[in-house]
Amino acid sequence: MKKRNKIVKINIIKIINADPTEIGKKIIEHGINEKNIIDRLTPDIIKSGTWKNKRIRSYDVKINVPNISGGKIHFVNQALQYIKRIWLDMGFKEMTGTLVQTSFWDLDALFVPQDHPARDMQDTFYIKDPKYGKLPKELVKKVKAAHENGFTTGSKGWQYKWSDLVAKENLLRTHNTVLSVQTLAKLKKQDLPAKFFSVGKVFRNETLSWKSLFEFIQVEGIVVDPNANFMHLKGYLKEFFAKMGFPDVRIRPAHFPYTEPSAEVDVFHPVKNQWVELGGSGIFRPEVVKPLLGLEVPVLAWGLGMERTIMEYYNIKDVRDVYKNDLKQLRESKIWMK
Amino acid sequence: MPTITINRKVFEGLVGKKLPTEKLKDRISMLGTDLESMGEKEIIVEVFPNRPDMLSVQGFARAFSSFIGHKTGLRHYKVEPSHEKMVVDKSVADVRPYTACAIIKNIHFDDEKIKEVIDIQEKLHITYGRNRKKVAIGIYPFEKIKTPIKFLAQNPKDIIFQPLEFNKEMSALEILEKHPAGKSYGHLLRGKKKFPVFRDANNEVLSVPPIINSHKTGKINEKTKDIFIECSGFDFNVMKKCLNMIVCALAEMNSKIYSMELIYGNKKYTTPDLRPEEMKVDINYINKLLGLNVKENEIKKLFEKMGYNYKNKKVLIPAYRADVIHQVDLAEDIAIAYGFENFKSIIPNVATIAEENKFEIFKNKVSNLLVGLDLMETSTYNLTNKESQCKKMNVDLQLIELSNSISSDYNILRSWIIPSLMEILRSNKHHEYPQKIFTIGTIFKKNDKFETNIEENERLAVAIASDNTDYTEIRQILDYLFRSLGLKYEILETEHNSFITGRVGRVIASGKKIAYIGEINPAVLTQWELEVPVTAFELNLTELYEIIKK
Repeated sequence: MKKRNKIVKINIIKIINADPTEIGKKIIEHGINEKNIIDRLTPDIIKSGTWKNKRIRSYDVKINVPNISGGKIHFVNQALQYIKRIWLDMGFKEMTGTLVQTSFWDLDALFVPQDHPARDMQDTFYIKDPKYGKLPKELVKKVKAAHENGFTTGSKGWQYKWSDLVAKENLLRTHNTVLSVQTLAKLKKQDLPAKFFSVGKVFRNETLSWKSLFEFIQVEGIVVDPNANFMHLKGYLKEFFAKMGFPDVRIRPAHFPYTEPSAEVDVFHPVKNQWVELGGSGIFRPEVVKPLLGLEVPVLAWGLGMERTIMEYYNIKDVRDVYKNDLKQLRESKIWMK
Repeated sequence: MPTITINRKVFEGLVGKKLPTEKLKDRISMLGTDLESMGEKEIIVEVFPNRPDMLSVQGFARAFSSFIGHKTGLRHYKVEPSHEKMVVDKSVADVRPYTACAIIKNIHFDDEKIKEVIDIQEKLHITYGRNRKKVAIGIYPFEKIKTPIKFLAQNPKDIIFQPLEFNKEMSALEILEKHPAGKSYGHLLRGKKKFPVFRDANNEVLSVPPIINSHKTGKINEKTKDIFIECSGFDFNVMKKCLNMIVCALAEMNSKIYSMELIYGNKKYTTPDLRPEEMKVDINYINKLLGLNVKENEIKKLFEKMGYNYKNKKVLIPAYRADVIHQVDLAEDIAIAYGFENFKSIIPNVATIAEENKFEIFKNKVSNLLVGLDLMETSTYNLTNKESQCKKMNVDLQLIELSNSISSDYNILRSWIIPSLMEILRSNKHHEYPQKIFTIGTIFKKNDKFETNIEENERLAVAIASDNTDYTEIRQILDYLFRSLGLKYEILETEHNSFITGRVGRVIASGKKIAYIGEINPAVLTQWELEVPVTAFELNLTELYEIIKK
């Protein structure tokens, strides 16, 4: 019949019969005295005390009730608040900043050469108008020197002619490392040691699909400590991921133009039973730190993607569903229980 | 990022040692190359952009063999003088000022080797050469060339030759329009009065860099024994490095490297120069940065595992390495040689005071108040489109556009938030009403008082969709919010095309206009295909927080 749905319309009717049980029959025989049973307790009944001589009708307490739903914090924000809590518990200060940045802060101050493939149009969203922003006067000279000849770090630099026009180009921040850079530029020697984190959106010029987003959450952190070393980097990451439910963390060699050493961060996924890559990390190069801070101090740094972990927690398979705002999904979603 | 496909047999021959597959996989990824796939015959690895010298099976095997402790230390490649000359005319100064050259002899080509050589050339073009912009590499059968060779710039109309894989002669200008290589790389020369050209002693064209070789003098085949190599571009040091990477890879094919004399006016240079570079190294610096305590003799061994030599606090860096510009680069290689897996995890005992951003705290408080009123928080994108921001909302606004978004649905930065909530209401029409939602997000406006000439504000938008929502209901929410924050406000009558005339207000606090509130215009509802009334407000939280701070 289902195959003929153009000709036949199916009506499914459910018939419920109710017959009194033996007890029910006895009650009917004795006759129901409505006057001695209270259906609903009212203020009048309570005040007058009439309930004392009567019986309150029993309910079927096992019965299902219609769903209700209240207001909720969006599940991504619940997760982000937990992530923030972890860094705060470890003594980190929160960094915030704008989403539109100049290339100067996002790339140049990070010693990314101006002809680096990562600066290609295809990965980064650039702004049409206003195409350019302004540059911080004093710092520009130092960053330019870092690129051209290594500044006073003893480095050779990239040995090319640095252009301030390229650095002025506005873009949507590609990583929250831009906030770390701006923090370093404001930091003073007497503030050390210092630890900072940020949790926020970053952008990549991609089409929306089940596995890619054009804006997503990145967790960023830096430790500015004259005594910091590579083992501490591993330590902070391990602590963070343990609290996220991944006790095993591994680092592998990687490359970023602004860190040396650079490391890919993997966690062991207990369900998938394999290593999963969740971010990048390293120690900022002297060519990054010295122009910004005025002195050479090891700065441990990491940038971690969070959508995948959040998706898994909520059993979401399509990354677009994270920001779909389906009200049924939001009303029924469980709360972040970590 | 660039990947290379490696013939496993060739690789194992070059490494000089065969490892079990699991071990091989592990070592490749711990060397600092990303293993893409491992097959019986082929291995595909991703090489990071700082190591262009590893973009060949030869270069990769060289690094790998040292890393596993098989053939460690600096490799010596012998360079014999050929006494052949390259004369660089001053006319190239404006178009492509530098070239570095070499001759490789006794290379026994077969199909596999030709493929390997072309592969090295292509990978270097894409990466280190930045798509030929920074470096272009030319490889020629030396037998077909009469020396000395000239590098000069000429009017493109006067450069006539048969380009590679074409059967007729044409001018350099025609090549730019007709030849596939001309179409791909023509932008690097187009508009220039003169084009760079290599010509041999018979005035025969060898190539027009960075575009194309001549079919006659610039095509290698199985019969080729000796080859001439040139790198051309804008920085002599970059040319020399690139040349070194190529000749050191080719030398691993049992061939011999011969130098050439480059004559730049009255200056003479000989390339390739494979003498290692020296760098002073401070072992304490490396130990401190990595948290290690490795003694000098141990450091020496670690350097050798990465292809360096170490002697008397100095490191000899192979001539093919282009990435060592500070001793921190050496520190990273020590870390790789030591093994990333061998570093302990330590949390140091350092006291720092945590601090959450105050504005973030404030935003959370606002969200919690609204959640207490049974409103559902949503999370929306910063990117949207003009139709959503303007047309569907019955308004015309100045928007900030992205210059290169690949998606037309997300090509502008939003200038207000209510449209994002309208979108949510539209996509939730099949779900139960009432729908009470809110979101906090950033809006973008041109303002030259800011560093980027764009001002960003955080705004709260609230929307209620239900059969019986009205101005009172939405106003009660705003009122509750202000009372809970201990703030006073007033509402003035206003006009706004997205709202119903006479049912829209402008909210003022401390003399600042900080919100619109009202019932959404049915014309707007229809645009969004909504069939229930909607009420909404949008409040500037950045401004509101400034008021509270005062």
